[in-house]
Amino acid sequence: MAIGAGLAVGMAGIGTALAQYSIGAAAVGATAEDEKNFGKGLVLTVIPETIVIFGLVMAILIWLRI
Amino acid sequence: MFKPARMTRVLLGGHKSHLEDVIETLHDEGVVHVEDFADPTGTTTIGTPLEAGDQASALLVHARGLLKTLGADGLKGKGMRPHDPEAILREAREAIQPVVDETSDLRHEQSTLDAETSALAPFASLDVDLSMLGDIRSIRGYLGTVRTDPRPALTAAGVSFDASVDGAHVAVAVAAHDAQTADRVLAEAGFSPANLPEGASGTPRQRLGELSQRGAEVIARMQGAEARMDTLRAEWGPRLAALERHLSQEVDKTQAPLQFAVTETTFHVEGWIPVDKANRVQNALAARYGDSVYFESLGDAPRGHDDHGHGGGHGHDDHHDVDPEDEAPVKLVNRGLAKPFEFMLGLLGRPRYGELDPTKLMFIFFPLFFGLMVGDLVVGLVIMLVGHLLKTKKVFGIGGPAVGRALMMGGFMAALIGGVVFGEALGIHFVVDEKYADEEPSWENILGMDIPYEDEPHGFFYKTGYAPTADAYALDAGGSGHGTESLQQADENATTGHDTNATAAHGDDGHGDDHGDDHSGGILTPHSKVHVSAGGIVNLGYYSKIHDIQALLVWSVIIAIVHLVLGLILGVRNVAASHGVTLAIQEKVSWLIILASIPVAILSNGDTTMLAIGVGGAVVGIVLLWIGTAKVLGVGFISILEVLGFAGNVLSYTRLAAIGASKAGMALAFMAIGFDVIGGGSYHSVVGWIVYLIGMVAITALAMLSGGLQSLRLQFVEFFQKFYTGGGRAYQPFGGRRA
Repeated sequence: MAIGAGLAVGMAGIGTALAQYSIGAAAVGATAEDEKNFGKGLVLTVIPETIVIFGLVMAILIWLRI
Repeated sequence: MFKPARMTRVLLGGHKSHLEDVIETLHDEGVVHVEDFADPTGTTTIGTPLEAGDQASALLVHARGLLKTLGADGLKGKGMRPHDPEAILREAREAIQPVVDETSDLRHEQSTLDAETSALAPFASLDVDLSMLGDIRSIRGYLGTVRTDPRPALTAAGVSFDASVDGAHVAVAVAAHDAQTADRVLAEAGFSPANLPEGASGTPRQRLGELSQRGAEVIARMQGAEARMDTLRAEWGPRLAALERHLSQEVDKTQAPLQFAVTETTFHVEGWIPVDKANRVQNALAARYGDSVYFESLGDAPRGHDDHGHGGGHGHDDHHDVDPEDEAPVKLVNRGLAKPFEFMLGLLGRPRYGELDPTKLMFIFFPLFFGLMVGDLVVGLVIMLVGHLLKTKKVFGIGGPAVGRALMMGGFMAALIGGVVFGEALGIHFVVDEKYADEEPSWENILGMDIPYEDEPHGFFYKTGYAPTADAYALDAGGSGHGTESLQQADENATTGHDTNATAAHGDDGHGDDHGDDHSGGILTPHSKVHVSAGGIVNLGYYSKIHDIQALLVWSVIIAIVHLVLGLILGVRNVAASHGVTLAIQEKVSWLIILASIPVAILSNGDTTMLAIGVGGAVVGIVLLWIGTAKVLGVGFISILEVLGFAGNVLSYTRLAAIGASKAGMALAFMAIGFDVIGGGSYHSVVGWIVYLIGMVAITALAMLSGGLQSLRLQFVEFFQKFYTGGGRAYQPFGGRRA
């Protein structure tokens, strides 16, 4: 069960990382072009974070044996 | 309250001879958002800049240059009307230039001295006279580094020489007639000369002393120059800043005709004015020019959708294809604490004209969500402090007044929620149930305070909730005597799951099992029922971020539904205003019907009528949505996917609980490292506290970043999706304060 919970968070984390990798790179590029884009880039970069939060919630639910 | 300022479109016209004066008047009023004049008839051309413009631009460049030299380019100037900007600039340059020149000379001198010092320093221990390197006819001098000691080779070559050697650093003097031989021998020894200026005398040590003395003099003179620069900055900075402001306004004015339409003899201006300022502008123009300047207010219908009959009414019914460029510009009207959130909203884009301005809602929900995710008394207060600093400073490009203020509000809510709901400071609860006292630290135990229970004699603070009767702890029989191991076990419990761990040592009281079993009550019941009461006014500490995660997840979903329903209700209003009531029902009310039906169906509990109402309602909602989607996108079935998307939206709010729990989990990990591993199981270990506090600093930084961004994201992505279009233009009045 611990392995299951770990996998839930870990793999969701990998998914988020893959998504944020390209968004982050694009955001840095946009910020280099115009510093005003920093805020937008930051907000866009955290959007895939939902995936890992789903993973975390699943892990918690597994941990609670639900 | 939730709407941007109402605007009206105005047309101005008059004889060209009034052009400059009208520009002056409009600039002074500072409320007209001038539009580029679009002339459908093609009988007019755009105006040309006023003649004074070239000179004003040149002077403006000059003034900005001087401000930069003074290091005062961040100064904000006060309004003024100088008589002779050119003379002021000349005077300023005459005062500033000598100091600038002196500073640059001194810098140059200092770098020369530094270069010589660093070149000479390795030779400090050599005993030679540096003048031998100069122009002496009978002697040839060498100073530099070698790979091997050149003395034996020089002797062998029959050169008469005098040398001083310190490791690889050598000084050699040879008779002039032996110079060629010496050159060759030294080259073989790998000689490379030191890069020194000529004309020095004395030993290297003396010379170095001389250099450092001169260096000190240069520094002293530099400080003098800097002090004079400071005086000049104080004297000239504000004047030049005011001049800069005046000149840039002048340039703005002279450029204004580029947005006007002109004919041979007349000019026309089109623009937007907030309705409450329109009369003021009209009166100002009438007072100065009487009837010779034409002024007409056309109401807030978009350009190209003229509907004079409405006379300023809302002509939004057929908004479908209006280009935001033709709509009135959006002036957000928020004051006080809500103001910083205009900046946050700006990250996404302004609302369209006629849409609701969600700034005030962000002001309510951003700090609330931030507080729920961070939820810690001390961390919240620290974040307030950081927010205060960020108001004036930027770190990694993040900061500014808006971010600082938002963080301060978020920090305040974090402290409040952390204190009241979670009852914790620095990741440690104020009090814990006695039956968990062995597993979990609490400030009460760490500080050795014995807070009395409600029924005992007590002061302002007392514990309430559980009475410490024997019954309540009957299950805890096996749970005593953990001693120093307890912390580690608590951690294992927290990270590995209780069930495998619910061995003899813990008996049945592993906290994971508490939720439904030990305590009567529903899913929302906290595992630990003891609170600190502050004088009976407020109880502190209901939920534990980790142990009560289940309850918190449920609360998150409840908050999600409330927040999203609010979003949908706003959506009903926005769609009704821009696209009509029918689509509002199909697009948004359908959602509300679905949302209301589902609980009815679930709670029907076998009652057929209720079940029928619930399922029927959901079907009606989905059908309405299908029709609406078909109308907008052309394909209706996408609405089915949308229904699943809504579930995703709701789950997305679980981050409110999950992020708090992840921070608490990190705190637990640092606790284990600090107190268990390093502190040997004691909460009084100083090193343990240092490690723990360093961990908390990292957690606080993460909490600020993730709390802020995630809170913003919940608004932007989940909430706004339900009602917000965005893409409106900013209101930028001619002559108004520059943003």
